[in-house]
Amino acid sequence: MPKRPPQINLQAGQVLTQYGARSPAFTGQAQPHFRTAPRADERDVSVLAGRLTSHQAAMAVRQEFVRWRDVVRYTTVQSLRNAGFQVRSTPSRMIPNHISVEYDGDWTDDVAKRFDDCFDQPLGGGGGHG
Amino acid sequence: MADQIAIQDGARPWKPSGGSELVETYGYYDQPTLGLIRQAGLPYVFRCVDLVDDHYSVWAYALIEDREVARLSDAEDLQLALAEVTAGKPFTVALAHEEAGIFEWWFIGELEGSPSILDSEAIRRALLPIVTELRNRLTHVREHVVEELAH
Repeated sequence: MPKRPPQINLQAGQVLTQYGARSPAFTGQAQPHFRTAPRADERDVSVLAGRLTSHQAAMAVRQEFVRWRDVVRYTTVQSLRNAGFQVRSTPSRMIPNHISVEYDGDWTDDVAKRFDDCFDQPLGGGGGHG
Repeated sequence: MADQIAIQDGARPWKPSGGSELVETYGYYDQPTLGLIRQAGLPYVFRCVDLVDDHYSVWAYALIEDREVARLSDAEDLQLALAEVTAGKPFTVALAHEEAGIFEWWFIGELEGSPSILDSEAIRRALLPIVTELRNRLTHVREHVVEELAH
């Protein structure tokens, strides 16, 4: 039986990639979606270890790549920790480089803004489709 | 019919009914996105096929056999194994809202080309006429309600 992938030993300078997606143009939403707070019933926001292209990130997360849709942005372990977040390696078989970002307390709008501010400008996604 | 997984309105996609259990999460990104459920003792692979936006998502479920569960457990290449064990299987396709859970679902007995659960394009193609029909029904109801209110 294949073992669960090993945890990654995260260094402060480790680059992390967050996958995001643009909506089709008919929705009128020009900006790509990047999650800045956990989903309902979840405790963490997901990112990926490494500086991945939009193609690499989309294949890991969604098992397909759509050029106009798929977008990435980057931060580091240190940036997130400096902003008060816990960063843990939480691999799954399909996403061995999965990283959980958690916050010890309520993930308020202020916390979401602090999380968002850790990332640089998004790359990828053509926009304007549909 | 066991091919069709039982779904309860408002259920989380990875626990689609009270009697189902999330056995293994193969992929997790902000939520379980790919994994194995057991319901009434039967194993189903589930996958998040699409994120429509931040709030709406499309999910697919395929019944597999216990020997195929073992194949998935042993697989070095899980993606290949998932493609092989779900190819040509009937799917249940569900729409979910992030907070409200699953709110619509359909059984798709036969898909052209025997796609696997990893073939998002084929599942979208199968879903399109169903969603279009739903939209047309709702449009009909809306027109009826508007007309009634106008009298």
